[in-house]
Amino acid sequence: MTGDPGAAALASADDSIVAGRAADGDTAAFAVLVRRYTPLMRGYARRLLPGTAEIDDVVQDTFLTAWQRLPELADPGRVKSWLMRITARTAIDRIRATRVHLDVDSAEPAAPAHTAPARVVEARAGVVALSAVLRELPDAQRECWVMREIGEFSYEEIAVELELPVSTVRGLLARARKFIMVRMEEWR
Amino acid sequence: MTEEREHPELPRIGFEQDDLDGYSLEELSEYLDRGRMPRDPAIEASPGCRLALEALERLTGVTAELRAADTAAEAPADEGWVQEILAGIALDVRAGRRIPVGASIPGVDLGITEGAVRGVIRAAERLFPRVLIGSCRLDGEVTEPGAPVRIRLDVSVPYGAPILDLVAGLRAEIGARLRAHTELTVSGIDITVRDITVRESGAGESGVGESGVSETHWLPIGTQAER
Amino acid sequence: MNLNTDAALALELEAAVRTVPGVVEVYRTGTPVARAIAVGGERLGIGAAPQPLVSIERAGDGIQVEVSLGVSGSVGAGDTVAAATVVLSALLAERGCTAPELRITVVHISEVPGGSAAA
Repeated sequence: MTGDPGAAALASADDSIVAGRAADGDTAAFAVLVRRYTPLMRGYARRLLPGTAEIDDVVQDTFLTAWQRLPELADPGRVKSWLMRITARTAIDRIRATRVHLDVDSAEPAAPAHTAPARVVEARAGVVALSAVLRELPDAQRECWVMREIGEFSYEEIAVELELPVSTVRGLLARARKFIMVRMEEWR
Repeated sequence: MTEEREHPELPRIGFEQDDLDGYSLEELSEYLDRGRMPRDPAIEASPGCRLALEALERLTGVTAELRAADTAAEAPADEGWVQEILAGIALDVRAGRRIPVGASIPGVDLGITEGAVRGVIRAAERLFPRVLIGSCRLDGEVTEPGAPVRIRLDVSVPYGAPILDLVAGLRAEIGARLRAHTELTVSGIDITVRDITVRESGAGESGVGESGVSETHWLPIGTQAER
Repeated sequence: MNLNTDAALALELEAAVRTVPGVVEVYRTGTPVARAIAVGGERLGIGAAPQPLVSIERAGDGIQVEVSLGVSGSVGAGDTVAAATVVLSALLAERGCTAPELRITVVHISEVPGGSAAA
């Protein structure tokens, strides 16, 4: 379609331009979105999923859904948070398919992660501490917290995703927050 | 976690309701989410609450760092990955609505899809180097012959280009294409400059999107978009 | 009614429309899902020979013909479909189809380097 200067311009263009073109069927523009947001979405999926799930499958499924539904996105500039939402939905759907029952009262930590990220990144001690604390959370609490704090879902949206009453979501979030706060302050 | 505390001299903050003068951590969390507005004097007057709020704010900061670190830890998308995804896409051409063409003759129904029209509008960008057309919408009852239709486009333009000239030229070219291929009654072509691209990769300053009344919008340059 | 004759007719119609100046391509008519299924079926080797691109439906005595076209940007789309109408109607009349309903949709306009109907 466009020569090199066009491709370079597209690669650095704003989300609203890129998503607007992709919504119209421009696969080169969609590829820009894939390159731009794959790491963010993989990281998010990794936080949501228990260790045995396939991160790449979730992110690929997310992009397929995104392609179908991009024309529905009223403001193409919001494509980044929109992609995050679909990532969470796709990840949770996958968990639900294999999980018999979400135990909201469990205090058992999730199974350890079998899938590690590609690189070791130097992070400040606080980040390392938080990362460790999150792995200690039971599934239900962790999922709520990650969707709320990283995915910026509302309580209602989390409730819909996990098929729980909003009050249960509030309770899970409260317990997760308290656990995290106490551990982070202990460490400090 | 059994590591030594980094700052053992600081007081341990408690998060039970006793420590928080009857408030729950959840209430304080929601208070913080609201930006501490409207200001609650009782909470602000409680030392236990204020310590907890500070701790919550620290956590918010660390959470943001965590998100960035998680992203940085993931491998960038390689071309194999991108191709796998593109291969999975069903290449339907985003047809949209069907726009009637030609006089109505019994037994003959002629039309052109919105997708085809958007395609020919988009192709106009080739005449304007480094201009990119983003979203392109046809607003109005395109399926009704004679109904007024407004074309709305987002464009990105190269830094330093004569914007008004570019936009005027683009508008003229698009108008000509619409006349050549459709019988739409075009009431206006709104072009919004949404982005300015700099030649070097990565640095694009983004405008804040706003819909307005005038035909060409010059948008205030906002903060650099997070990539 | 006879699927084989309809298939043959569809192929004739497709060949005829391709002779119209301005017609660049004939696309498969149908919903995206139908297209995807048809294409998927072809790829997997399921089903008979690929479905004709021109769609023919019979209702009682009538015949409904649907064609999706890619046209050249150097000719006005309106002119191209008008010419296609003439060619297809003539062919249908020759084949004895009474009161045909013809539906032609332009789904793509090709960019022609250096040439444009928008002169």
